[in-house]
Amino acid sequence: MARLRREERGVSDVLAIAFMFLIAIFAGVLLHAYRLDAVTSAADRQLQLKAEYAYKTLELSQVENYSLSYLEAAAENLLGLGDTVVPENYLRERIDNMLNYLKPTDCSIMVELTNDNRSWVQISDNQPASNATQFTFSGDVTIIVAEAGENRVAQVQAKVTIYR
Amino acid sequence: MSALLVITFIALLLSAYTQYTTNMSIAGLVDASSSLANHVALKTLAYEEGEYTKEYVVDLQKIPLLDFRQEIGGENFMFQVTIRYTAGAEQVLGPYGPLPPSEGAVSSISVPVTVFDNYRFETGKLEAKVWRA
Repeated sequence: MARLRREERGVSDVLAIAFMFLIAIFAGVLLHAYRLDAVTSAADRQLQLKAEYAYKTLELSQVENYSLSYLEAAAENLLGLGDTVVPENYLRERIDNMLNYLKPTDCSIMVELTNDNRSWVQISDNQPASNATQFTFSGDVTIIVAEAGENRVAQVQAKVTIYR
Repeated sequence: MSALLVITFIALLLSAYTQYTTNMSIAGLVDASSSLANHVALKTLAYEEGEYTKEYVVDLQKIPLLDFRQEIGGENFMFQVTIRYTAGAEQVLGPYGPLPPSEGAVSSISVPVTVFDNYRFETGKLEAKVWRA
């Protein structure tokens, strides 16, 4: 008559031990994944900061040889004012140079101005992939339009987007 | 067998904790570099026009006022600053401040700024290298 010894392990024991090892490995993966995105999140916060600074630079710095800022000059051109200070071709070339100079490594940067149905869009590289992560900062550019009789205030929506 | 399981689990726990502290330390340093660049551009080097401070505009005359040691969130950081701007050809000023350590983590950030030079507002970049003191 066969007798089971206490030290002998059956299939169920081996399965239980294997299952415990699997749980330990799974727990290890989970533990290592905890807050793994902290560095990526910090890098994302930097890109958001850079989008804000790029917008402010376009808003404050002056087009070479002119006293208008880039956003003011682009807004003037977008509104189609008869006597624009900075010629469109020259301005587009300067903004292209500027965007390529300011864009973060491995990223594209786009500036977009809109007013009613008109828009002015410039991007440092080719159109980014549709699934690219975007970091946006936007604001309004106010232009005073001199018209016969009285001056008129026009607002143009401006947006700077960094694509990664 | 259960002892082996316990040892494996403790080893995994220690390894995961080490990785967690390294990640949090790097993330803290990256955030500190953002804060420092922000502080320099918005406050320390900000151009003053009468009683108004023009944020995001760097005044080159204020560079000597920089203190290259800052405390953020109870930790001490050192940094080095370089300013580049385009007035015709690219001008490079700096680096200002101590040299970064050859060993240990150094975080680098470059943000677009406007530089006030020769009565004009020029397009520029403020680069900061930050490390723990």
